[in-house]
Amino acid sequence: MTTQGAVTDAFLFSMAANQCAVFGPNSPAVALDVIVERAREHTADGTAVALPIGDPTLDELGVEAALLAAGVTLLRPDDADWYSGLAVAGVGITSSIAAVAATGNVALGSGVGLPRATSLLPPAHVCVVRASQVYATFAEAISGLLHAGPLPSALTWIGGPSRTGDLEMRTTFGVHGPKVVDIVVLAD
Amino acid sequence: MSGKGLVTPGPTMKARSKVAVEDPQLQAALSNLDLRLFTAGVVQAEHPEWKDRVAEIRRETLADLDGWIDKLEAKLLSLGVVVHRAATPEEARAYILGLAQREGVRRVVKSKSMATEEIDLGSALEAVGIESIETDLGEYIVQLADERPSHMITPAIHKTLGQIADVLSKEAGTELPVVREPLTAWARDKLREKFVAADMGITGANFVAADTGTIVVVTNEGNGRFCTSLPRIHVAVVPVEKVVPRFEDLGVLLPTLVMSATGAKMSNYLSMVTGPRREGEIDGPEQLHVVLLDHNRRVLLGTPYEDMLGCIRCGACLNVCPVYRTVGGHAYDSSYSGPMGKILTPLVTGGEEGRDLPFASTLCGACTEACPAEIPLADLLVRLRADLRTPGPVVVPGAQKPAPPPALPVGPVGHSDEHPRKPGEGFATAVTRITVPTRRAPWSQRRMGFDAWSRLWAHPSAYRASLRVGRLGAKALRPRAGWVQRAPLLRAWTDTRDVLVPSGPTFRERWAARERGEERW
Ligand code: SF4
Repeated sequence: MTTQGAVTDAFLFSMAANQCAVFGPNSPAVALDVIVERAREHTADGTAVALPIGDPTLDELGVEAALLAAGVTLLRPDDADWYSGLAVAGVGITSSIAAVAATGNVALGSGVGLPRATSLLPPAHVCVVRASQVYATFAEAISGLLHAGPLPSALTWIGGPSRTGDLEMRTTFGVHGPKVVDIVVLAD
Repeated sequence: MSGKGLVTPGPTMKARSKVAVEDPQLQAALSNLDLRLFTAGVVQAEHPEWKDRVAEIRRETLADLDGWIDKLEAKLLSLGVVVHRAATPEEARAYILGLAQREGVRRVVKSKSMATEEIDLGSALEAVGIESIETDLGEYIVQLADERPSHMITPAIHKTLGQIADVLSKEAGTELPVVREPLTAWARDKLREKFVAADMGITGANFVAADTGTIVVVTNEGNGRFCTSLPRIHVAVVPVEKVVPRFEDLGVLLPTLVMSATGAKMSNYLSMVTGPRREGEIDGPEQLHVVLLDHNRRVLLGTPYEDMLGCIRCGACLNVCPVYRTVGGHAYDSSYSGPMGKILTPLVTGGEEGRDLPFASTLCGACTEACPAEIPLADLLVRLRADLRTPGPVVVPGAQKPAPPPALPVGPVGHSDEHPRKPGEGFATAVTRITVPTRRAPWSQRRMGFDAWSRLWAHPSAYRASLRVGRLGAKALRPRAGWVQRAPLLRAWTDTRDVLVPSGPTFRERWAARERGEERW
């Protein structure tokens, strides 16, 4: 097993411990199938799939075409009703720009066509993570992101479904953010 | 800082503590703190090197705090952030209220922040008719109950689930079940409405990196993400010591903070905000304001209290403190409770509040051991006890510069209210880095007594003589065990203690006898 393979396995383990559903590492074709299958499940009640525009990983996989072929309703950031639509969408799909095995979290960057709310408002979030972008430790990821170029205006780290410890210090899920987080790792 | 939200009323910490220990609901709720009793040791056990690194970064920051603040400000300005330096809570409130009114803000959503508690921002907004909603679930509960948070990480720790259900049911206008999931679901829907209609998001900052101008907000629920993403204006209230030199320092600071706070490897969400919304983006705040709050912090630089500014607000010292665990946060009657609150409250209020807090400690040192920033909390408590015997502020600035005129309101986005400026300038109470000598307590009977004692025992013969006298005195009391319990002036001490009567000759006497061959052991 390669070192990167061990790091990826540790990452999947940490995310599962954080109550995410984890998939992979997968080939691009399998990853695409998983994404479509998850999207359909989260929108089985007829809600829409929120999909960013110009996300390099999602575009490379051909997520848009696959979702359209599967017959799901797409909501895009350039739609006039993006925000009202997002409030009732079933799932938001994003990719990550980094991930960490030790702490079990993924980093999302904002940008043109990549709104912050995609992974915030819908009750479910599907996040595609490239295995090559998984760091062993949080400190390594922080350094890696800093040296990869200018930081995005919003760099959001996500560990799993929204949670709180405010009720007698016992973990309760689904406070403000998504209640379900699916992690799809792409072998690359 | 006093006023609203006193679950535990009383004029002094001692009086409030009495109420707290007799409150069965509070005691039941506080027992949940057992779940956090061992989290403080996790960093030490798993990553012992982190503590030293954290302490090193904090010391490096404080050694040139004004320099890092200037660097941060320059970076923020280049990102298009509006920076305001506030010397006092009044100034910070005035700035934010002015901004909100100018921008026609009607609803504010707040993410949990100790700094906004310190400046009592929520009440100030409500007073001018702006709806201000706490969005952290614990803070929301505390706000609905018209109380103040009692723990910096878990604000509603003083409430049992039953009490929480009562508070939320009252707001819902219907009886909610005493079960965590439906209560959470109700709050989710209720607060979602508020987020979508808010014009301004107000957060604190766990850290701000000087080199990149990145504001870090740590949450588990996602409310920090809402507050920094949806409203068109984001205001971050940042006490000056939150600055860290480099973005890369977050690599150790954040895992240490979270692990010390909850024992988890990382919090569920981290929002790292670098400037406002950029060209072409469709969400994120159009305006980002950073209010840098001094409030008697910079005068501590160069004094023994400087270490206290290294605090990263993890709450570990509260969780392990035998006093906090017994009386809860409201007994402190301050935004900051527990060991760090006992020290910080009299310091940041310029000696006006919480003067009795440092005396409510067993000095057991559990806090010092728990602190991931290696702050010598127990030592600072002892020092404060001495310094607080003199009325007035604990630390008096030695060299004050004349105050610059208050600069309000601000200019357009991307400009500070006063720029460029010299290092440290801009806060009304600008101070140069000075060393304040520790003040001696005033001459008192007690001190005369200790002085005489110390002189006496400095001489071996006087020491021996005093022991003989003491033993004779104690022997005289032997037939009257229990007598001392009725000593009128020493009640607080003698209520639970009696005099100890020596059992026989001292070690020195027996040694001398042995040397003379009179006694063998
Ligand atoms: S004083 Fe130390 S233990 Fe207490 S909150 Fe601050 S950093 Fe944490």
